Amino acid sequence: MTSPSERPSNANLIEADAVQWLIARDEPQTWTDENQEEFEVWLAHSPAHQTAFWRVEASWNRTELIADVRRLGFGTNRMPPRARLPMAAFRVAAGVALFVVLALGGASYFLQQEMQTFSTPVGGHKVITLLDGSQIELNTNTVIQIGTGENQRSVKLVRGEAFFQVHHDANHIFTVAAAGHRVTDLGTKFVMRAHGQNLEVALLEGRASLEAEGTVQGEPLILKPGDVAVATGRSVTLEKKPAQQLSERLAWRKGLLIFDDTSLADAAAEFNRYNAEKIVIEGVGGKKFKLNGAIRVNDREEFARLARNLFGLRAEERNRETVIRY
Amino acid sequence: MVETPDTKAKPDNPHPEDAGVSTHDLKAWFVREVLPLEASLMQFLRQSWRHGEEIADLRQDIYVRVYESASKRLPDDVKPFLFAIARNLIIDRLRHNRIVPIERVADLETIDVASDEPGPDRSAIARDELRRLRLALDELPPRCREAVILKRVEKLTRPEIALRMGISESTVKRHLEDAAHLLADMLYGERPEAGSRK
Repeated sequence: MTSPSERPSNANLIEADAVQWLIARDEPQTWTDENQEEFEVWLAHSPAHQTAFWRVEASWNRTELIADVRRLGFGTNRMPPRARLPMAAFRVAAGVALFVVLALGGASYFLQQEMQTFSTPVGGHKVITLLDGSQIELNTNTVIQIGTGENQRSVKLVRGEAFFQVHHDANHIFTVAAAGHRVTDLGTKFVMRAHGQNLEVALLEGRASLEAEGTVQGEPLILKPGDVAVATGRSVTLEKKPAQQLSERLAWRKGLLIFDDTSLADAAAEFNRYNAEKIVIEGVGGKKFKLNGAIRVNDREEFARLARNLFGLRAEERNRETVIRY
Repeated sequence: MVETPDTKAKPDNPHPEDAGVSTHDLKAWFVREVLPLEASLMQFLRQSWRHGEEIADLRQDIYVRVYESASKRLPDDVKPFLFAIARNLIIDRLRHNRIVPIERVADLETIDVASDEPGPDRSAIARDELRRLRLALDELPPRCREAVILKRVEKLTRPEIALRMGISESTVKRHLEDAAHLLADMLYGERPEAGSRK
């Protein structure tokens, strides 16, 4: 009889088998029906096999969590040889992991593409955290593309609205292209909205520069906190807004719309950005009724109730629309 | 193995031993309730058993007994259940081996396992999860870690990983197997926060 230390442990042998099955099964291209049958026979052989497999499988599955966090803009093409996870960045990412995992259920991820696309449907809201800790928050009906790997600080706002909180890094500039313009961050919080040819950039903190894409003429416009720039095809207008108004513009981040002396027609248009089932204002009264206050972005009944109670208007359901009129 | 699958013991069932637990439920319970206690269990085993190389076998035998008992009926309170099994197994082994003076058995009877560790607090576990995972990944050998990330994060196939890392497919397979083995120990068996083993 050999002493226990000379004999390979039975448990270690079983665990080695369990690990082999686990890793083989993780290769769907080469995993055959026969493999599956053999595996099931092995598994059913004893509780020792089952518990050993459950154990390695459960810990292996937990690495999915990393996948969910890292999928958000962290390519491996730039993985340094000693691929240590950047801890600080990871911690930031971890903070939003749950949110992101939920929100990203349907996000597609194509490794081959230079850009990853993230989008929200009408009424959607999604937070994307890059591994450098920068956050991009997508509002309703928005499409954004983010570079992979080392290009992840190169972003394109295809349509819709997004709020950016950028970790400044002098060596890696953060740029957002939209509607023929480019915003370059100089350490910033800003919100951008692209609709058609128009681009609106509101800066909350820090500095950013705005310039037309593909041109060299003209100085880039430097935005300071409170600045709201509206760029159209050929011109840029700059307006200064009080900080409170700017933060009200970001109420969507909390699922709210804040109206400040907003006409009923404008309020309905804003509300409709978030809802597939629209509010239609009929008649001429839309401009003269002013709304003040907050409403949840998807609370169509509340909107109708306000119109009825505040303005004495009629609101009725018609073909999945709410029609408000005299 | 499981006598009557899909019929779970109801709390008011007068004959709970007649009902069985389905393998599916048993597995979910094992992963959710038992594995998180493994670090405490291993600590207990290391204190109670002199032969370190036998601890993996002990753990396996404990899990088999847990499986057999829980497949009849899931216990209400997992921690005392698990440690009672562990203690009984050690006592059986000691009696069987006749290596250790009998008074050590008596010592074992008095170990108060319930008080040395707080019970598993779900929210604390959840909060701790990412930190623990990060520590575990950091502890992996670099090439192992790289293979895991390419597999689990980038979802590459084994040939693709081999190409990317410039190594053979069989080496990729070995890295992944090593990683799965180490991760199981680090995520369940050890306790990264209890002093780093550098």
